[in-house]
Amino acid sequence: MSIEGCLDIQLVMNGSQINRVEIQSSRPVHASRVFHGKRINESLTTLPLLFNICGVAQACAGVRACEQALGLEVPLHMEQVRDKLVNMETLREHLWRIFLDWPALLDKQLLDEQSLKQPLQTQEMSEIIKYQQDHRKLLTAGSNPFLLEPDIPVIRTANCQPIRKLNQLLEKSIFAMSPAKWLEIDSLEKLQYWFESSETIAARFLKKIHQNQWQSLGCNNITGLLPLETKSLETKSLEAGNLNIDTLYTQFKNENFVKQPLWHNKCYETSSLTRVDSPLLQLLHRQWGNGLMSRLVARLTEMAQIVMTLLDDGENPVSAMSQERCDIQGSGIGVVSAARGLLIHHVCVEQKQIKKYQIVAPTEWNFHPQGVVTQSLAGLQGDSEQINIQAELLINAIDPCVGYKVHIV
Amino acid sequence: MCLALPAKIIAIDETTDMAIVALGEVKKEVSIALVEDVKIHDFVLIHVGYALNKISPEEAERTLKLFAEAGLTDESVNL
Repeated sequence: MSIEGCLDIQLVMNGSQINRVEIQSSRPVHASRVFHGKRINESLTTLPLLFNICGVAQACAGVRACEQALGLEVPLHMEQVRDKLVNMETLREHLWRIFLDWPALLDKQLLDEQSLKQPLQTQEMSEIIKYQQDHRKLLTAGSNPFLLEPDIPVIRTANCQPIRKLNQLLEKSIFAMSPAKWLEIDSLEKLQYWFESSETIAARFLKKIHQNQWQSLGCNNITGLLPLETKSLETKSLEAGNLNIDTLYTQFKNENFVKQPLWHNKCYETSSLTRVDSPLLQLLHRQWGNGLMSRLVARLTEMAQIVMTLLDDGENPVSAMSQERCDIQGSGIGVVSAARGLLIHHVCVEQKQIKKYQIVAPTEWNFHPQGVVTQSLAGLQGDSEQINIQAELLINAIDPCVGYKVHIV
Repeated sequence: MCLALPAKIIAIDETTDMAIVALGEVKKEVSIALVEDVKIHDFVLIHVGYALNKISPEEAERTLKLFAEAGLTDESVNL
């Protein structure tokens, strides 16, 4: 086995249909127990090193949970800084997936070549890391905003160079137009014109989905998990699972919640698709539900929206979940919208030491044995090769934060 | 959980941007295309075949100690 674990996804075929989907996870979901007995700031320093995938979001959820447990008030501008850093990480993660995975998924030949060689756009990916680092330095003046009682002045970063450069990269390599202009696409016809007339990986990828008539691939009835403050979006015609802090505390008493989370005994999805809204996405939902095209466009939409928000650097409203409080002495819950969905940390502290630390990551919601990936894959049809291609597309679109293996039997 | 493993660079192929990393006795080839100025003996965090970023030897030691405490590093370790 590997340290970070793996998702083992078995598709049992009956003729040309999937008869059964089985997902087994070997992820060490209780690894956060290493913090038990540790001092709070020591744990907060180590947290993003240990849980390095989405390390910014992990650090943010961790410090919010600890601040809540200690009853510490955090200045509004500090929460805004944190949200901006998390947003930047989300943008980086989405870009990495597009640059790393989409070329290979686009072309089987590329897939074969890529198993031996480098991804095609490593230069862009390296640039993104640099822009992220420069943006963080500008925002934090070198301080760590994810420790208790951080002391960082208000720093305006509107139109700052790293974000302008990132905006240019998105324009050149993703949207073939400015992200702001791309967000104006508000009909299926305009979307089709865009992906048929543009040569970026993103456009070519959507064109392939269109040509193969895979727009509704994986469509199912799993509902989106929404944080407390989020209204049920019009795009989601389905019932929404609204989190609230009090019920979360109760859920964390059940140790299985961190491994196979349910909310009111139901599976939920948490991803870009369940939190992003636009007129175009509403159209896509009506046409193809939560199928593949909606998922891919939701990711692109979120990327464009994030870079616009970071360029503007206005008084962005702080995530209401970061302001949620519960009256349980010494306990705290930190919730962050990470790249792959809601990340939830629960901590119990006593005399500045961690007594209990639990984490529920989005992968556990989305790759629950009866969850959205299982339901998406259950409807696939075709021969084993076609099923394999479609399964890879869907799993990549929902995006686990760990390696996975697909077996077709 | 969303873990990335600290590993030590023991060989680099600059023509392909690939490196051999070691975690204990286990060795594996990974891409170092995403991190700049990687040298032999540097520590990097590894996730699904890619070095994500460099960390200091002290950070690597602290993280590996935590992995060991969590019972995640033993003879069965496989990067």
